[in-house]
Amino acid sequence: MAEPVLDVRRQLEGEPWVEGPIDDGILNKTLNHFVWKRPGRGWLMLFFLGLAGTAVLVNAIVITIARGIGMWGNNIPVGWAFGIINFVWWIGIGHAGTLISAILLLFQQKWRTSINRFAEAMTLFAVLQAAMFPVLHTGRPWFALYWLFPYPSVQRIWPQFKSPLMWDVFAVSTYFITSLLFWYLGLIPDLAALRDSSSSKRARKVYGIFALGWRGSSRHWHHYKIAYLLLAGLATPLVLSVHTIVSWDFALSILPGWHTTVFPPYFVAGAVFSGFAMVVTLMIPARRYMGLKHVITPRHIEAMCKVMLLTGLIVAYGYAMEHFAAWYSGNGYEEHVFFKTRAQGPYRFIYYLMLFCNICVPQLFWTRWGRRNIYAVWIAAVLINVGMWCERFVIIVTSLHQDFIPSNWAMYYPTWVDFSLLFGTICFFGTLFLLFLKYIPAVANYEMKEFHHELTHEKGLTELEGARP
Amino acid sequence: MRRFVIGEFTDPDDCVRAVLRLRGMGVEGLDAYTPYPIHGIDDALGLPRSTVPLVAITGGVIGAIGGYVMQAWMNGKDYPINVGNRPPHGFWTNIPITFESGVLLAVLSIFFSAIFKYFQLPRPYHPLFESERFRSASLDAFWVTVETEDEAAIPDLEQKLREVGAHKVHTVTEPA
Amino acid sequence: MEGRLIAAFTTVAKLKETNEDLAEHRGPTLTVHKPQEYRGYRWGMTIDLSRCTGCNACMVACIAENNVPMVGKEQVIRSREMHWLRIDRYFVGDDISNPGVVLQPLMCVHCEYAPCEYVCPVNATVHSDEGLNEMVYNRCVGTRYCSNNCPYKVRRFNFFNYTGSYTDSEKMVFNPDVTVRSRGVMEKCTYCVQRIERARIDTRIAERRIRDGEVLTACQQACPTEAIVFGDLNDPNAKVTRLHHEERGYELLHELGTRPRTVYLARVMNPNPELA
Repeated sequence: MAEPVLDVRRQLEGEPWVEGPIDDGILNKTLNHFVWKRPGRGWLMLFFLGLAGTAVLVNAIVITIARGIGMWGNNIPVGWAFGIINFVWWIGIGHAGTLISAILLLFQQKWRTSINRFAEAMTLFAVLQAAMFPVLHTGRPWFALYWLFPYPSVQRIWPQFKSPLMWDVFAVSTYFITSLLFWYLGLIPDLAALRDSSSSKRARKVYGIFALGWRGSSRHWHHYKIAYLLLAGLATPLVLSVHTIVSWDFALSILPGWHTTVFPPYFVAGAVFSGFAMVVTLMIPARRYMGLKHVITPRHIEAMCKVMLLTGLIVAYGYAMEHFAAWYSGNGYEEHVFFKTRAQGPYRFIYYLMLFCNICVPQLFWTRWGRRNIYAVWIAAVLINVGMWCERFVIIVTSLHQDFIPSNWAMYYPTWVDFSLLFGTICFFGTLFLLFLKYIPAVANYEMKEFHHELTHEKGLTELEGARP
Repeated sequence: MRRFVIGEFTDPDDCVRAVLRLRGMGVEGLDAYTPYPIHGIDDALGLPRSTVPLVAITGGVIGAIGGYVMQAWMNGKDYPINVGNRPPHGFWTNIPITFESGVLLAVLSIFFSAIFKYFQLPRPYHPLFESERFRSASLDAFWVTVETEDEAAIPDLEQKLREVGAHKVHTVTEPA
Repeated sequence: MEGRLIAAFTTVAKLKETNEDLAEHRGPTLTVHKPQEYRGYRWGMTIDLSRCTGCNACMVACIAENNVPMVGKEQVIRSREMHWLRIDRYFVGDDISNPGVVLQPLMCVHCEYAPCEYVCPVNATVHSDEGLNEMVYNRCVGTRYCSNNCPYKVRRFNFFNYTGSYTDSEKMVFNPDVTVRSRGVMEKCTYCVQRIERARIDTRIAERRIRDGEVLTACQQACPTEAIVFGDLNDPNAKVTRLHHEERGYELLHELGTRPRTVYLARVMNPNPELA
């Protein structure tokens, strides 16, 4: 009898990456179901809340530009605060999307297929939020917009390329453009599918325009596969380089607590950590309300928890090394920042919140229950994002507010404009994401079909029996 | 006036086998239309290796060299300024932007060459779209097409397609 | 002072020992950069902490000379005061009911290896060929990275348009030789560069070099005890050159390798043992 043999094989092979009886037609219907149906009450409510939050953001931006950075809480010595914290936080979040779509593609980790479009969209919207701040936080943003780019000016002067802020300009622009083009290239065949399966004439026209007339010709697929792989291969070093360059904003200064060579790997690990946490935060409700549980399975969530655990441990190691080096160096300024300012100073509760959220919370993922209980995972992911924001606060504000000469020491208090900007960017991000979920397939259709075909093809099982790796 | 004789398959492997057999029969102007890239179709159609990697590396190298030269010239030659008594031209401080501009130009050249040169898009209209049944090419069916100008050859081609196992075989004519 | 050497002070009895310690806090540091040769003028300053009485005349003079805006009580509470030159006051000693006081006027020390310059993305702060750390107001976009990187925190930022609502008669107070800064721009002590340039113009007409004592910075001019001395370090007879090599002299935060042009002279006290 085949039954017991099949059972043992199933136990050894692990759980499915795609659940249930599936074929291409079913994939079409279920993956695009959310796009075709009318917006539900839940979506509409969240969307209007998001729009309200976006209005708060716009208001805060206008006030900042019209009246000045004085509307924020920044002062001398704390020249950078919420503005740069938010910038680093959002860029970090963006990196997970690129890791999932590009790096996992290169490592042939097929389980990325159902989440990569989602994650890459998250990257785009996160980078959009981040990109606001380098211009907005300057005293004269109307000049910062173009003086930071090397163009032949009437003043005959060029930017100063040794400055890490200039490296940021190039890194973030490259990252945004690469993410956008990579995401769009991957989207073209799906837009063609939407064009061909839509019943409304208007939808057909709009999707048709953005699909650029894609027909699915194998002669085109031939070049497409290579182009997609190459873009993934180019996006991969960007994950490492962009956040390294952002970390150099701090590492290239002389402040104690900033001037350390551990920052590039520490920041990159932290970025992946917070990014995966954001993907999980968004994915868990989305898969439930969009009916995607059969392609975004508990096994996917478990894999993401493992990545969060790994990167969380790297971040914890980074903290430990920073403190050890501060003590071992015998440098009075370093010792003071780590053991007095951060651990005992006026912002110590944010420091301890950071340690709890970034070191203690991910340890939950060692346990099977911690990786499988959806509520626990979601709460942990939110706490991790909070913890990573607190980490940037601790790094930036505490090192600035108590530096070399004690007469300079001063407190930093954020204003309502600072909070509006943070809250507003979160709402704007959410609004963009809701629009994405509604109008564009959140799961890459053609990649899922390809993946599913490979799964069934390899084992020689018929399609109707379901796919197992 | 171009004519397309097209036929549908439900299994990708059947599609690949059909293309191989048709080429064996000496049919020219073959193409396959699929919702996702299928294994073996490139060899079946006899496609040469793609030159996209060449475009990518050219773009990358030009971008990197351009980025480095830009910094070296702007800060080192055209308007050197004493900034903190650091040398105006610094090899190592030029590296981050050099790397990023290399990646940027590589990405731009891949994307725009792919869309405009290799796919020859945007092209919202193609004669194949005249066929309503052809819609499933982007969804869940695999189509094989033979392009021909010769009206007389059509019945023979339709026969050959049916021989290799295609369904819904019909001809699409490019409107005048 | 958290155990850091900021405002050095000593007694007559301990003077020799202190001078030996201070010798480690001046002079060249280990660096990969080639030292710059300054052939023309080499501007420098000394501030003698023994002479400073904390009268604040230098602060007032600097504000008047350089059009420094007044920001108001609320902004000062938020630590956004605009004073280019400030007098830091440190309480010293073990007896909390009878503390000693050490005063230190602190303004931009014009580091030769300025940490503020290389972080500016737009070349708004650069180094002159006479050693001045120059602030280019019209190029500054206000990223505030320079202020973050200044270990002395002497750079000031125009968080609001502090001078926008001045009436016409209030504007008459401004020194016409000095730019009035707009919102979003960094500013700091310039070694009264407008006075240096005026002296340069005058002496060029007379076809001679600027002599010691012809350029007085505003703070130096106002100081009643001549605690602040400014001049050309390339002039061997200048007062500032002699003071730069005093045994009591030290560079503030010398261990950071900034090589400041302003040298402080330690405060020496001579307390009567019967009063102690």
